[in-house]
Amino acid sequence: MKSLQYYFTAQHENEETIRIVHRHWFNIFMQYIPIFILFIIVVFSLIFYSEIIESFSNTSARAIFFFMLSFLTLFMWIYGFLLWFDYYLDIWIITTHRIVNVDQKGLFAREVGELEYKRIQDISTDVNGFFPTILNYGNLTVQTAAEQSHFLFKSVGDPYEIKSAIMAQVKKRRKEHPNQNVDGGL
Amino acid sequence: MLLLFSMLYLLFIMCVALVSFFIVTRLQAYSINPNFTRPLIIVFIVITIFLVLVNVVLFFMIPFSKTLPNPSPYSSNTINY
Repeated sequence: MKSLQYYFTAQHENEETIRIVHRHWFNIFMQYIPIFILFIIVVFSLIFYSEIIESFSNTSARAIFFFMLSFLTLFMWIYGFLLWFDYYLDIWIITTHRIVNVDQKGLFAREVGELEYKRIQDISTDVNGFFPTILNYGNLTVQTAAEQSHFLFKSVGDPYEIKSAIMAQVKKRRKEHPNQNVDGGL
Repeated sequence: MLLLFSMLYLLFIMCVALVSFFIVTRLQAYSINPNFTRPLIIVFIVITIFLVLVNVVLFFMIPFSKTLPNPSPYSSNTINY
């Protein structure tokens, strides 16, 4: 499988990145709906600006009106970018040696876990619901023999294909290191 | 009152600046694809500065002396006997 030109800290020597997995776009789309609604309110306020302004008899109300629109726009921009920031930095990295799970929790909290292929015991996928079925996204659970009992790929696109990619790496690892399977792993 | 509004507004702008700073530094530190995030960071900084400047200008365009209630006992709405 072709390696990608990505680099992350603590990457081992000779370790190549096979795949970078983010949450499915529909997951972040749902979080953007309140921002879309606010954006529509701002746009309609600007479109019907003359009708709204006619009802204001003094200049201070007009100034406050434009200030509030600007305030709302700034809030939407920062909040929207924070949503994308959390989405972009929540990643699963599938490499030739292991799976790395990076969970960004807001601005000031981040969890990183890794799972070597020799510790994988089972992989299962779960696609539940109307939208997940139509858009082909769902959860992928990797059962492990490590301290952390399972790795969860949450709301990822095409979980079956990701499962195949991980299985391919696990089998490749087994061929290269036949004596290193632990606790009845794959 | 005006001082209170100004202080609250200053606090809001400082929060925006702080959040923006941390967004930029975290993105730079944790991104695995700098070729994608570097231009994005520049766009984010430019647009944020523009929006903040517009917001600040609009804030200072509010005529607070006319907007705030007049505490004077001799306002036109009161009837003095």
